[in-house]
Amino acid sequence: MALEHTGAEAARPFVEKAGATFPTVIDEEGLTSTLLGFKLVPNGVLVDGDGTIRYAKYSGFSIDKPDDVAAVARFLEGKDPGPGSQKKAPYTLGEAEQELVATKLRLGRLLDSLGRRDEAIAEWQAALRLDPENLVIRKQIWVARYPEKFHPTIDWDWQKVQLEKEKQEEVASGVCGPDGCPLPGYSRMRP
Amino acid sequence: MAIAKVAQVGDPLPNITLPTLNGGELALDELRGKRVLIFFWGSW
Repeated sequence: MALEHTGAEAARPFVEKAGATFPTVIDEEGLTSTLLGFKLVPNGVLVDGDGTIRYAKYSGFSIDKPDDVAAVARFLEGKDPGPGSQKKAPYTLGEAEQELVATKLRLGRLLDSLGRRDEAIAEWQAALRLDPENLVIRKQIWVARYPEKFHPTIDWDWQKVQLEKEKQEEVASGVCGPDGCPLPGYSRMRP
Repeated sequence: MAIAKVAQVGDPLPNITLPTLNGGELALDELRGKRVLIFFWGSW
């Protein structure tokens, strides 16, 4: 499941390089992020035969990590895969806000597919202001605005600096508080 | 204010239909009947 708000083709080189034999599904609107509540990838989710989620590790899941592979192996043997980890954001979106985020992501995708990238970025930024800890959205905006930082190689050091810079700007502009996003009482409920 | 519903461990996987890279579509309910790992990633 590749999250690619700027279109499916971004995923293709990685899938081909990996020689993936399993189906690759593309989430161009951040639907899965909304429905499962994760804010970053890579994630591993294990689902049993009746469609029940049995394990979720959000952020940092890798087939190169022995613990993650062991969880999958236990699950395939019919055993308990273990606890996984579902990091909680410091806030929970309200139903109406979540719907608004989803709508803005969908509209952004539509505008981007029509070649109206500036308008798409504006919608994605509006979604990010509602869900400022969502790094899936934040990074999609970076991909659209700063493609040279992602192709031909991903500049991870730049991402760290950029994230810090944006967080400081968000504190300065009042979107976030000094202890994170969003400010308490900023129309959200804390869990 | 109602809190947005998020599927947790123990909940059913939401059934959404998404495009596949090879031009088809996959409804997540089609995965029923076997144990599956869904790996979420991005090219970024």
